[in-house]
Amino acid sequence: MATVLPAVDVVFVGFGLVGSSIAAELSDKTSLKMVALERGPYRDTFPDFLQDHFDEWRYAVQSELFQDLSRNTITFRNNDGQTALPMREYGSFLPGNGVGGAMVHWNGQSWRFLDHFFNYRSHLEERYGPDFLPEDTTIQDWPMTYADIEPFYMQYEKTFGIGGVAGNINGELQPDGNQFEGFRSEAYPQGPTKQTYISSLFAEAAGKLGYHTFPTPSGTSAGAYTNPYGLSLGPCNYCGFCERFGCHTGAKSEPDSDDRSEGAELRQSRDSPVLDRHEDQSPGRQGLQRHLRGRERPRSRAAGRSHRRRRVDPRKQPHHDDERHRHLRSLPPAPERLVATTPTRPAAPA
Amino acid sequence: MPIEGKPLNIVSRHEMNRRKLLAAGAASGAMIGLTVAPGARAQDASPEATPSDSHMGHDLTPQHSNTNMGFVNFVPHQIAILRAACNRIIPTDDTGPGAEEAGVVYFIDREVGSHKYYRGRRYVQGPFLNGESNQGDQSLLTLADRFRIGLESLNAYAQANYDGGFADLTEEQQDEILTAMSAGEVTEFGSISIDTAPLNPMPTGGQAGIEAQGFFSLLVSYTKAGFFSDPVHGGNRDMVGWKMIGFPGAHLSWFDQIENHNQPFEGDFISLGQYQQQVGGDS
Repeated sequence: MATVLPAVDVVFVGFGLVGSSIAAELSDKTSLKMVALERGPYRDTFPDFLQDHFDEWRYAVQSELFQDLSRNTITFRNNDGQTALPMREYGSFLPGNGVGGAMVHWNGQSWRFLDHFFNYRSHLEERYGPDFLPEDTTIQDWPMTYADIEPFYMQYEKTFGIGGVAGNINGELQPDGNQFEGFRSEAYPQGPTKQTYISSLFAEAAGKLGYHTFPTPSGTSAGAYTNPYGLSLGPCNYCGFCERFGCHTGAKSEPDSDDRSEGAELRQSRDSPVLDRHEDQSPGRQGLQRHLRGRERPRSRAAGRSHRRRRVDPRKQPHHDDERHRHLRSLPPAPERLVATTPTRPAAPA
Repeated sequence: MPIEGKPLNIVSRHEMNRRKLLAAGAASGAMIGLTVAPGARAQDASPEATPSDSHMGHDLTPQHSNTNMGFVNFVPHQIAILRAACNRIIPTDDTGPGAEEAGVVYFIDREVGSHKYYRGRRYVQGPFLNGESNQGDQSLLTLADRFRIGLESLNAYAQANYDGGFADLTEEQQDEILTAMSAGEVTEFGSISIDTAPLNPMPTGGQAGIEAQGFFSLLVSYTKAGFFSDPVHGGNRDMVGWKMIGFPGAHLSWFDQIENHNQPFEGDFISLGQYQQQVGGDS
């Protein structure tokens, strides 16, 4: 028999970038009660990513951080003459699994759309004439412009501590940045990361050919950074285990492990697969609650917390005494809270 | 010989094993398992050939101290074929150690029992249909099956076209076969393509072969993986693969060195296990 828990106002099904971003906003600005359901594991920067993520076979090749295809996959076809078949192995895209979603294993390249992407049809017709596009083209202008979106790009970049060199601040071109980007209302919240040998060679060669290079805007934090929500990033260690791995210094822009559950109670299920989205059409929160409970086997908040890993202050780890890791001593204090202490959290069920 | 009178392929297979093993001189501790197994499996071996006091005449003195190495998935003659093939794909030569020193066969033996695949946890449920080449690998075959079928096909091909099983051939002959496989010139393995998926990969009454070029790709993938993966997975012993190419391994940080462009690497090679000892993660 299903256990009915206290009703909440918002349920997140899956807790990656989108869910956690909405939760952070809602917990800042409302007193809504929220619950997040996540089928994948909860991994922390410490100790999970610090422990074993320097392993290319397991993470880069064997897809450890991605959704488990042996449990669930998609079918696909390349044209309407084909029969759709299961995608049995990963190829072109790598959906995430667990709290934080794909942002846990992304590589951090963080680009804005160019301004003309928002009015692409007008842009092309203006440039190449009204007859340039075929009649049945699907290319359209969006209902909003780059200027409409720019403040939100800025907010995202501040939230995730994106680093780079601006090329266009309010219409003024900046010599070291991307000359083609849309205007930015402010510079990047952080500077770029250090340049590797390969990128320095590329910059040198491209420069000799008369091209203008700039550092890739990136979600790998160049330094210690605290975002507008008060959450912090550590500096990138340049360890080289980045895309397809979790970050062991908390430098990667992602819904940060300790605060992903910002404002929302997190309920995980390792053994229950996805919620069946086709079943629950019932109106009303109680129906939804019962439905979710019945399938999800929620953990109590207390159980959820005990399930989490203990917090480890990286500066107290033995290796931080090692001279080679002395820069880690400048890490900002790890965030103090395991979960946000907003008053929105529902009481633990009996 | 005690196993005279058996079908030719059985004789040659076991014979090949014995000769190969004796020739190898039990270079590694894991060979102990191999030296016992062929005789043990040949149930018709005559008593005088398997004197219990001498363990079939083989010296069972451990040759090295690593007791973690051994085989739990492949049978001995498959290991011999696999070892020979891997050792030609990454040979031991003047550029340094090869697949043999890295222990690639131990890595592969462990991986085929892991229920994972080259690109992770694979979807192995229906629907099963023959796909087109742009629909990915739709095969029902497990990783272990792919290796077993491929290795048996490789050996049968060698026996049919050369003077013995694959592991018995000269390196030049082995290279000839592998080169032909890689070029798609070997058709005798079978016609089942890993890429487009069999509806029924193992028809009743015999083994349908997977096609040779696909098996060659599989061999190369796993040989490379066993040579370059972290030693925690059973290959890349003593980090020989990393030392060959200058990959330093599981380093926590290059913060201080990242801008020292074009400098030779002079630090330590560190495996995941060593790193975990450093940070206290294994305690």
